[in-house]
Amino acid sequence: MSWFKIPKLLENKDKMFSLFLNKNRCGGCQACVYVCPTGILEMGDELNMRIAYTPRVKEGKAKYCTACKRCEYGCPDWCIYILDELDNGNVIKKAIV
Amino acid sequence: MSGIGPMYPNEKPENPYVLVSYAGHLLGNYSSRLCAGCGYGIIGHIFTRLFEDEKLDPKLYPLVLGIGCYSQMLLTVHYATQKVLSLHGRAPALATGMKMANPLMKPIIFTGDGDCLGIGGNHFIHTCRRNLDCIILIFNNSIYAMTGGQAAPTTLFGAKSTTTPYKMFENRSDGVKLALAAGATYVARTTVAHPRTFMKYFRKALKHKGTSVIELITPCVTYFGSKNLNNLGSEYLGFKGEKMDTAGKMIDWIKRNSVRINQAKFMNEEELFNKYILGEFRYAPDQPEYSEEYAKIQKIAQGDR
Amino acid sequence: MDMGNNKRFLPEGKYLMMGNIAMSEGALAAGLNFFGGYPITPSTEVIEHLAVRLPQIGGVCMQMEDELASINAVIGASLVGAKAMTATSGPGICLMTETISMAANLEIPFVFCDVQRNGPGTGYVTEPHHNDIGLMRFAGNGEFQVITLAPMSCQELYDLTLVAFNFAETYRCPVFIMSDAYLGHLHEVVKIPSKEKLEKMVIEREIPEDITGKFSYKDESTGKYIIPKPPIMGTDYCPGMFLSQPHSLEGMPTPKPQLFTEMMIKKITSNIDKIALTDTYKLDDAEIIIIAYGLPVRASYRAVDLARKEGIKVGIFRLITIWPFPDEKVKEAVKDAKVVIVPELNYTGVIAEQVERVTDLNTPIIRIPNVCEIHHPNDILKVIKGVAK
Repeated sequence: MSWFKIPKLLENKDKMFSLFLNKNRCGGCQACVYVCPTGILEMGDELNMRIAYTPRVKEGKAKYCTACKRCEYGCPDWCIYILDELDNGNVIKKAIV
Repeated sequence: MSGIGPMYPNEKPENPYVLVSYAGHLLGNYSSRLCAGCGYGIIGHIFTRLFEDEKLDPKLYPLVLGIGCYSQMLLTVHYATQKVLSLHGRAPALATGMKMANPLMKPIIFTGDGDCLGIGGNHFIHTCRRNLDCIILIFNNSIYAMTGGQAAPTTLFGAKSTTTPYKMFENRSDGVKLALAAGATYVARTTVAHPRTFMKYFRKALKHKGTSVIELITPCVTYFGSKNLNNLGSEYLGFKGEKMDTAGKMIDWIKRNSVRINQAKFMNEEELFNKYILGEFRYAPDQPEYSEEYAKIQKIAQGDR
Repeated sequence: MDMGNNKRFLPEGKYLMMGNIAMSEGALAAGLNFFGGYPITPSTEVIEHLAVRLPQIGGVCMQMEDELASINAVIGASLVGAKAMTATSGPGICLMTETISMAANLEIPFVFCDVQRNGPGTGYVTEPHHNDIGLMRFAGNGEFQVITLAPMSCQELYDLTLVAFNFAETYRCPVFIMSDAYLGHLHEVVKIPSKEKLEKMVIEREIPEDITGKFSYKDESTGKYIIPKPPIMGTDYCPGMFLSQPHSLEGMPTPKPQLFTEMMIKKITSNIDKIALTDTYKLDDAEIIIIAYGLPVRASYRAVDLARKEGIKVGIFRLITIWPFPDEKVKEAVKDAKVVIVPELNYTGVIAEQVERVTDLNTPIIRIPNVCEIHHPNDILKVIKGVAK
């Protein structure tokens, strides 16, 4: 297995957190879209390995993410999550909100 | 290990809670055979997070599971837990034997709506009556999903399932009212769309000495959601619903179909008919608990008063 | 659990005891810690006696809401390391069969006492009728082997309960003790040995000292199946999950269920020499052989004595273990016989069918059926005399 980097949906440099999405494991259930309180997620256009559409952040709305973690708690496949970042995405430290 | 589920490529950086789940600890990646959007994926995540953050001792908190789609959680929760898969409906009785033989343990019981309120109704009533020190989690998706979508005792009036193809016409049973009547001392209900509330109730139940019953409303997309319309529970409002074929739409429906306990006092019966009432219904600490009362009997029998 | 109490053992000596009580005292001497039951005639005295005795020694006696809950509670207690037992009658076994089959798959040890009564249905509750023999062998879905013991007196009820607990710990399968309504309520003298002798006879439930690596069923030196000591939940000696589905030698789900079924059956049939207990009486020169078990044996002894006085050569081959049926021993015992007589307390002659299976086609087998009435020695003597001519 080759080790891809998991794509970041958005990155907030002031509060030092990023939103990651594991595109291959996502099942396309839209739970994160409906649960987000600021409504910044929407479904995308491309199919992944599981033949499902994956979410993406709406244009220009990335600054409204408050890292409330409702998408992380609501994902049935444990795919979308917020992590702190201290260097190039290789460190795992949980964001404290 | 194809018995766990399909495997997708390992990637970095991984969700830290995936690495402490059973498949993640063994193989480094999360996999399960659940449907996309199943509520039990959400519950498995929250439970693993609680087990890891509270640093629960796996020797003191065994898991007892019944039969249903949530039996998959044997393979998705924390790797250090010790689990038993019992028969359909008999999980509270097995937990009674475990608790009385080793009074230091506190079993956590996972049951479903058909498992606990259908075939296992008798054992549930008597476990609550004895006020045994355990936590009973009832996962209510209002359908028998494992066998293909048959009607359950908790299916809403007017819903469609494979054994009620015209419409469901029976009165639905209510787990919270049954637990209250039987005598459980901490009774609450919440949904999968309110995970922080569930974590708060679960932490309270861990400290409570007595039977805690927490009912969780979960979505079943494949069998309940894809066959029923959005206006179930709000027919009196008169709008035309659409099918709930993704988990997001079903979670949205659950949130709109539930009312808080303080709100429910001001609503009439027609509005409350098919809704879910959320909140804490009873919290009574310091009631006599079964294994402690039995220890007193042992002292009397051995002659020291 | 508090085990340091010395009230567990009765002082050494002779006691006048009822059958059900003798069995409870035998279970206590074997290390019983948990009893879950439901009152049913004729086994109610067991739970009533243990409700007084078990709290005295730090154990737990629970009356559950029905038979299904009792057997599930017994399995739960046995998973956590307690020695557990239940007692019921015919209608109770019918309700408990699903759990017996789950326990046979997970290899959880427990002891089950069946005080038989007349059937089918409700029946006469105070009359003996050995009608559950087939049920004990085939209770539950799936293929597995069980052990069934048949005592014939109150002293044997005490001794064989100890043996039953030892078999359960060693072979990890369901063990049944077959009693009945008359034997359970019979008052006889029981001789109880001293505490030191009893402690040597009992196999304890304990964790082996050298646990390394994962829990497995494989013997490292030979690569074959061994019966490991029962795992205990709540300690380190435990596999992570108990799933009642076929597993391989390493304890993981297997793609070949045939290997698992073979393991379940062979673990009893390959040890049949140690499990099959039998007894003989004046068998050396016998031409007529009586094969019996349970209550009819008592009448057979008297009938044999009377017949020997008249010069008829007759002997008894007594079965103490009924399942697994000791094929080789029975074949060996009846190879020189001219006639075999099988008196049983049922109509169809369940054990007579098994005897017919292993004997020569030329040897006639005569049954003496009797339902709800115990045999009189003259009944058996009449048949012996009729055959001896």
